[in-house]
Amino acid sequence: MQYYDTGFWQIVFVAVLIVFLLFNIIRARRGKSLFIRRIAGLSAIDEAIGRSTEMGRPVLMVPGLSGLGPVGIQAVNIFAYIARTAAKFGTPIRICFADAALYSVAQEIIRDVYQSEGFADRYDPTAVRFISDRQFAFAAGVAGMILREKIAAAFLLGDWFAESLILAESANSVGAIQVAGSTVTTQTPFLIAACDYVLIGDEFYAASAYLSREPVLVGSLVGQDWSKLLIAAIIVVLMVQASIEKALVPQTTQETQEGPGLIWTSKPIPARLKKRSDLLENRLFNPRPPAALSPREKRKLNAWEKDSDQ
Amino acid sequence: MRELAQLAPPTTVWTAHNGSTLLWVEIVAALILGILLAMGLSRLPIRLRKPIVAVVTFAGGLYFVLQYIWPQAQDYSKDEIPRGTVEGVSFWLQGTLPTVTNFAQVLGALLLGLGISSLLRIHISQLVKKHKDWLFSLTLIVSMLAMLVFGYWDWLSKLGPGAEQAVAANPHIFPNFARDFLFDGLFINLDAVMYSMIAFFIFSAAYRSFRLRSIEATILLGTALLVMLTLMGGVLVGWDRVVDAVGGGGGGHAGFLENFRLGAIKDWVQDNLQSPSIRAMEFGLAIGGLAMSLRLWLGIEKGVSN
Repeated sequence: MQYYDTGFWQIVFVAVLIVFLLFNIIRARRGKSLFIRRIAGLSAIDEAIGRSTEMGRPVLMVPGLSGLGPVGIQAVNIFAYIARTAAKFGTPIRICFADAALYSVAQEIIRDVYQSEGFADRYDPTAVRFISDRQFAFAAGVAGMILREKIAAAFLLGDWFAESLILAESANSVGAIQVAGSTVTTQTPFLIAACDYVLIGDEFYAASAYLSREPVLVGSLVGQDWSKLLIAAIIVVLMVQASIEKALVPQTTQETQEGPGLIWTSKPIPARLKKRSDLLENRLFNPRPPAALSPREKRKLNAWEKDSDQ
Repeated sequence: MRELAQLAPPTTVWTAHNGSTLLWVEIVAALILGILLAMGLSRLPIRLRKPIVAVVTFAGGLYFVLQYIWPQAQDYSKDEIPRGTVEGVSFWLQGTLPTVTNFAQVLGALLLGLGISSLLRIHISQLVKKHKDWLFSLTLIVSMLAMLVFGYWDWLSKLGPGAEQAVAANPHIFPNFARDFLFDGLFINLDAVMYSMIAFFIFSAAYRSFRLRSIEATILLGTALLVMLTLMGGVLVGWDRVVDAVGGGGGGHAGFLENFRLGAIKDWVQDNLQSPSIRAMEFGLAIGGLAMSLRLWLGIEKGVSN
């Protein structure tokens, strides 16, 4: 039986990141004060809700095409904060979904927010809506709502694709203040061009920690920063190592697959400059089977073959 | 014959045949069980609901974590008997994956029903109350019903031996024609119309953001202009001629000035500025997603609504 060999570095790397995250969550829970820088897009949330309240027009929240996953849940978390503030001021809200599962979860969360704030009577069950799971039918439905109801603020946070600009420009045409953020990097430039405030990259995931200052979330955010530092350090170290290896260490062997079992063997060749595939960084993340089997592996292989013959 | 019949796998609760009484009994029993379970869960106090949700989430998450880290056989077959614990777990993971994904699909379908009911509730109420823009609601309901009726009718007409070939031979059979007219003739084209409108929105967004109002906007304008110019063949050729003339190459190699060809500048911008920036964002997003998933999996996610 053959098994996929994807190497163990990826799993080790993910395990290290998980340790960073959990360590910082525990640190924050123990009361360690951790700093979060100011994020303009999130500071603008209250300003946008205030504007909607003054104008008496709805606040629109859309998580794009996000499904019931980390991105969708994070978007609904931010919307819950916005709904809480809107509930206090009696500002009408509209939340539109393209995913039925996320819609069902969000409906519960938003209702809970209104109840926990003591404004259950202000909750409008039609405020949280499922529009369509087809991309452009969804875009048409939300754009129509933006134009008909002349929303005062739009929060476009989640997984965005080609429909992002349709909604952002529709909201701009009715003079709405817009806060946007996408986990799809190809859409970020469009949102920057069309919206007033944009959460770039992982600022989207920092939002709930920034808004709530909840220790678990703040600790997790610091863990994310440690992980990014680790990645940056690995990139720098491997870049220096690869440059040195390429310039100073000549390649004198070549690995080829030979024999009936296509075993990898290393053969001497005339010294030459190393190619990209010869460098340590490449070999690290593209593992090959060992040149020769270890005694333990040989024993296992023999037992395996014997078992198969029987 | 009797020997051959014995070779057929025995019918179990998991392998009931399509249309059999056993399958119908199972469907009805599962439905009743599901309704009872949902009713029971909804009556539980919130403090008891949370641990149940946490345990189910953890078990589901663990299953997919194991799918990722456990050694997977390349040529897995249901007929093989596993040797050892590692292979046993691997076979179990690979064998149960279709069932688990089926569960997810069934849940998704149920929730889609909830979404549609919300949509209908809102629009039927607007229609009944003759709310402002009730005509839009009427259009939506009529379109939805028409697509449902003709889609289902078309599907029914293709059931049975040779029915699909008969429809393929004569696509003007009414239900097939009506379904194609609604879906391919109207829906797909309306989808394309919405997509085409993006071109105008790009233009208006670019006009607003590329104005010389700040240093950032000016850099954006300059970079965008350079990249756009490389898409214009005439400009590209003219620019290259200028580089050749200044470099004295006459169509050959212009030395250091090669770096100032429009294509070379664009490549430099894309390879050294754009790609690293996007990769940096993607690293951040991936780690953010990992952290969020981990919090959800371990049941320690504290949303801002808590």
